Amino acid sequence: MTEARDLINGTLDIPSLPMIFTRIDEAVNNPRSSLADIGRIISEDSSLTARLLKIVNSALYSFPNKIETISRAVTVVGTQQLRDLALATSVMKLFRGIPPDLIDMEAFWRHSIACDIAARVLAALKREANIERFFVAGILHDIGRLVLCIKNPDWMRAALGRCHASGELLYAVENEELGFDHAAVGRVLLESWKLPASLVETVACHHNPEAARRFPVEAANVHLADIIAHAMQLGSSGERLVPTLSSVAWERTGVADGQLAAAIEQVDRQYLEAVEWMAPKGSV
Amino acid sequence: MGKLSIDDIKPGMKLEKDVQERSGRVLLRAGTEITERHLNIFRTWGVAEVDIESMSREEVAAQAAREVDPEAMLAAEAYLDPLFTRTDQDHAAIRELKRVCVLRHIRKNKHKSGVV
Repeated sequence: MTEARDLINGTLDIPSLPMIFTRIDEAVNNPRSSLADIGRIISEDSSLTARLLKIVNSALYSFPNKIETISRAVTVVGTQQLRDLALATSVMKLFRGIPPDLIDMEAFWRHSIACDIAARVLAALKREANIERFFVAGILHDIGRLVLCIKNPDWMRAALGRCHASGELLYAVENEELGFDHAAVGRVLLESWKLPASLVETVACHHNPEAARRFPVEAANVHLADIIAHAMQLGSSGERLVPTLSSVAWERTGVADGQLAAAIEQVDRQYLEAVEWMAPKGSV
Repeated sequence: MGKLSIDDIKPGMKLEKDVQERSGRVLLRAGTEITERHLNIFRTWGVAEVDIESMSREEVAAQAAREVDPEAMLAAEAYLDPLFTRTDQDHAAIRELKRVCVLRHIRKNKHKSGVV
């Protein structure tokens, strides 16, 4: 039986992150680079610039004034967050050529955006600081499933068929047949991209949040956000059912059940506009 | 719960304090369950806001459920049930999540058919 790691290291190409992201990341982490330096690097990529400006002007941020330039965005949004946004939108551009009968990419990113919004809404309910740190985790939580589709489309087609017939959860079938699930594949991919440990663990543990050792609250948050996105049927990750809720994770989120109705209302409100900005029809 | 505008009050809510008209005459005593007729009386006497007792979540949920056409409710539940088969439906959070999603589904369908 292959392991998640072999899947990534195999012969088929798994896209690497674009150079521009690596350069932004280095600049953000380099204490000697200025805000202007970071802005200049981003501005070299006009399509990235356009995408970032769209997002920072969307309902996700709802700043009072329009942000017209990247240098302004760097000041207002902050370098780390802008780097995370650059990562999310770069990754969304990376995965192409997946057979549409396996996964409808538009629906896939819609599910990811819904999970992302739900994660922020939950974090905001608890008045967590820096709720944007949940951004990338929400967008990337199911990324491993795209790898499974690219590496093993026939297996995935059969697994989807099995779930459709039996009413099983896709990630449970992944675990049973492969010995690992898309979350484990996500971990290996994000590690190979050298992304931060908090992000790696949150993605790796989103169906098994009790296993999260270093970032249990973040993992619990994305676990619950994913369940909410499924229950609301916003987009589709290939999984057709609401994943099993871990009661340990539920306690860790600190969300009260009485807050769910308000949370769902907020997700509905933010979702349509966010999708229009980030993944408009025909863009992926 | 505190003051609510007459327009936001639904029959079945309870008064937390006496309602008085401008001269101080009591129109309705605290503890009364408000009916449609009471609302008309408030409007006639120019009462814009009254104090409403806070409701428990169960009461609010029961009230929301009463306002929904039972057939639409059954249809929405039948539609959403299969989605929740792999998660613990005895967990309070899942029950609440499902309840909210059922009401949301009914609302969305109404919008689709143009009956708002």
